[in-house]
Amino acid sequence: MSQFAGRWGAWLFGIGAIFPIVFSVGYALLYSVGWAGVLADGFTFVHWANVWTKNEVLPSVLFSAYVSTTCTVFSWILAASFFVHLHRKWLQSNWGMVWYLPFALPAMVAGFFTFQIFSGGGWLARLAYHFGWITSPQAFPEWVQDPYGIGIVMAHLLTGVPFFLLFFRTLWKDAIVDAYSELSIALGASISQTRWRVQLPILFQRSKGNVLLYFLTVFGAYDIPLMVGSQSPQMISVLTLRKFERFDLADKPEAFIMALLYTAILCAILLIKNVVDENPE
Amino acid sequence: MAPSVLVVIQNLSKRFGNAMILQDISFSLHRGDLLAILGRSGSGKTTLLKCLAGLEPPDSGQIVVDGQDVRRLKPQVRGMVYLYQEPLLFPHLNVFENVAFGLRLKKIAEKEVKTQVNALIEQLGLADQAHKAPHQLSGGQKQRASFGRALLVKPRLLLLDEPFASLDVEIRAQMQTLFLNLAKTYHTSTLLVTHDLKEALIMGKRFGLMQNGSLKLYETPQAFIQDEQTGVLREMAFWQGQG
Repeated sequence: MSQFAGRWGAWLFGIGAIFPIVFSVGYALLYSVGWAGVLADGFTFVHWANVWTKNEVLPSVLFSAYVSTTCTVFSWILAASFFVHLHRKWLQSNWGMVWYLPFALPAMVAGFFTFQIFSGGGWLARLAYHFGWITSPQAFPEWVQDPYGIGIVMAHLLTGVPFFLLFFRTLWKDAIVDAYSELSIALGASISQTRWRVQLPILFQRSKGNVLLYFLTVFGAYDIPLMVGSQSPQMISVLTLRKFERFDLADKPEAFIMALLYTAILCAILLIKNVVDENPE
Repeated sequence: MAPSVLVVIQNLSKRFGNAMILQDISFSLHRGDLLAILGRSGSGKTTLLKCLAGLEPPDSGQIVVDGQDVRRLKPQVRGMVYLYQEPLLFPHLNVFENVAFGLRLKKIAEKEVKTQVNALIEQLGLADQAHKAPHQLSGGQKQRASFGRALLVKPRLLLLDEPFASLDVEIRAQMQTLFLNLAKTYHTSTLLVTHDLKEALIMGKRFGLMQNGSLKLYETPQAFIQDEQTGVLREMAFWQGQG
């Protein structure tokens, strides 16, 4: 009976999870080489060549990697610093549950808030104008829809920092960091040495999986970069969808190529993580 | 010449809420001594060690080490290392770096660190495990590395809280012998608390019994054995009966 159920489970998993992915990737691959879709005129590499000559995709991939890395690094450092240095006890009490609230914030709303606060016509700009620090909205620093992705990073920090804070809250108990800290002090470490040599490395070691997960989440995020990102460069998700929605049908194969690249990057990252995990030394 | 007094504890008391955990504990410890305190769970053994290490503040009493009252000193400058029941090797460091931890804190030259750590690791029988992560070691190997890490900082007093409790019988016996040899080599003064009668007898040079927060010290090993409350006589009678 259990063998029968197991076989059915495998089939359901194959149909529900594996088949859609394989079909989508296969269809995208065929579309990109002219073997599928309305522009299917026979095998060609012309769409792949177009992608590289237009100089849009590589900057977009690099920009996405830069934004995701910045968001991940800043979120981790801010959360770890806040947790280790300031309010660990408070966070571990029931009051620490308030950090779940930002997760009730949809990405679109986080982007909207960021725009409202940091744009040239936003609250900070109005305050700056009120205090006489600027004389027009244009004089306010370009923090949203900027070429450096500052707005995207700030919007992601709204959920990234609480994400890591809540993770550390559980991890601190599970990894018995208090016991390691006491031991470190007994061995002669100061509070500062204990933070740098014991607490932060343990938090980092145990959160590597979540760091990668968060990086991939930001890498593929759509709503926030759409609202507070600049027109150029665009993050890969925004650029891909823009190409899908364009009137020019010739852009569709390029959108499929970008989706394939995104999948390839994700697979490569997961593969590297797997290899590193299996060979820790 | 008699060894000089290292630690003098006088009237140490500690209360958690309404519960009196330590009641007027007084004893002294000589250099190179190994005082084994026997006590059941909840008798106050761990609290006593934590008060000495500076990890719990006592309510009253004196803790004098080398003639200095250390109550107001931070744990890291008391020169007492408290070892838990679990080896607690730092999970992000390999065996070598775990043992070297105390020396790294003192910013000792790399060459000196390597010399000292390698020599100790060799003594501990962990030479081929030096670059392994803690999760790759057995329970006994972890405990050996943990002792090495503590001994290398040359503590004035080593506080052991049932350090062999998590080991099986055979490994425990090996570890007890190894520890006694290391303590002799490094001239370490040790305060051991345990609920294991046999362990207390094997390890201790001097003996105490802790009950409900009070400590009773024995002048001689014979006095410890003869006291009905320690349970040694009952244990002996049981095994003689088995024979």
